[in-house]
Amino acid sequence: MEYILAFENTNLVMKAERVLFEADLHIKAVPLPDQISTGCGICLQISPVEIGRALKILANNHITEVGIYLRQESNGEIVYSKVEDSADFL
Amino acid sequence: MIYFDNGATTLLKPPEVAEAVQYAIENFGNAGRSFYDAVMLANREIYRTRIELARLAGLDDPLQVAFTSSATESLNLVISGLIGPEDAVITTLAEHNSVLRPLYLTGCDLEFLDCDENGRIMVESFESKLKDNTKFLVCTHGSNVTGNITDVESLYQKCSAHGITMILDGSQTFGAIPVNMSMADIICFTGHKALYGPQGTGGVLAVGSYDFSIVKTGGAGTNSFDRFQSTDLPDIFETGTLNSHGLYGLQKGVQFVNSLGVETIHAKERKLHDMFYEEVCKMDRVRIYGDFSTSDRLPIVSLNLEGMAASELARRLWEENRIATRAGSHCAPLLHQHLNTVKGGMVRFSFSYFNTEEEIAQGIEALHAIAGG
Repeated sequence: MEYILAFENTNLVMKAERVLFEADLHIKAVPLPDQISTGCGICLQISPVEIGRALKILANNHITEVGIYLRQESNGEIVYSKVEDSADFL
Repeated sequence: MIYFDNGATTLLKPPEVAEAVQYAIENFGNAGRSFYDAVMLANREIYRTRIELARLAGLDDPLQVAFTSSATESLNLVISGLIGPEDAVITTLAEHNSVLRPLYLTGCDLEFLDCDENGRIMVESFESKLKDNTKFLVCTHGSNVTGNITDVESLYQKCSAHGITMILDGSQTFGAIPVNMSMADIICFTGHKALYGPQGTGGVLAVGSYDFSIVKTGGAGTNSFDRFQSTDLPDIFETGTLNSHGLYGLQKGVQFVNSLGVETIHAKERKLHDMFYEEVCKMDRVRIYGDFSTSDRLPIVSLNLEGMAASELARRLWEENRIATRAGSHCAPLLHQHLNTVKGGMVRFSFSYFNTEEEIAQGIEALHAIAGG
């Protein structure tokens, strides 16, 4: 189980990646899944252990428009479910 | 060759710039178009270039830096994206055609700040140019002809007091002297002059949100099924594949400027400028253009030799001494009209951090020889 952080555009992904790297968080750039948005693009994958800290760091850097999705396997398929309330992590 | 045409482009650059371009050509994927290592390498280095530029301009957010191919493209995108025929706009007689022609194209109602006999922009005439529908001021920060620096702090104060958006052409100044967002709302810059980057790089610095109309559009790497692309900065100006190779080179140029400090670079350039000016101004046949009553100048000395066309002087400097200068009108037609140099233009000597005192001495000697011969 992992979380996906989706952003409005690639420039914001790069800004987010930079500030999270600087905080020594373990993130991975991955393709934006079709289930989240059609078309192309990238997003960031992060573990459940680190997502709370990541969201705080993003907020501190004025990156607040973040789509949060839970990525998990279900019956042999990868399923993405949107997290409506990020307060659970903060 | 002795290269005194740095106002056109800095030919001598830190070696890291060319090395970076070559590295990028061999290793970068298409930024923003996928996720694998070669793409992410390009993405990250482009973002680092934004960080270096933001640091130089004192910007909080690297995404307040948008990339274009040049200052000319930046000015075209900003001017045509914001200004329409219903607007009154103030500009100046000292502008380059990269400001004037985009302004003419909008059909806006133009007023011009005059210049004095030395080409200095007369900031004090600002209020007399105001109209009810004046929305923008577009002006150069430093003249590519005379080396005069505009009093942009005063102009920006006046603009702010009247709710006017100030757009600054920093082509000659960004990297050469301090440039920051206390000087204008929007600053257009080039990468290949005082930032020592490759040609084909430039950009826009902007704080705040602006209602830019879309001037160019196409692939952005995201939201592919939307009919229109994002109008947010920096995305609105970054349609299509970015010049990531050039931007990585620009990063190294800006790092060079940031590591030395603009003040250190400017001090050396001013020393070379002063050394040249102080000798040349004593020569009988020489007419020098610009305001030399202040130390607040760019490292540019433009001149004519009495009885000799500027083109002939530039030709002799090159053919007899291998000294590269720029003769002509420097794409600044109104200033040349004002200074009565439409016929013949003038010869511009423009110096950089990589010039030496020995080269300056040779330039003076060459001018002496030509003027005396």
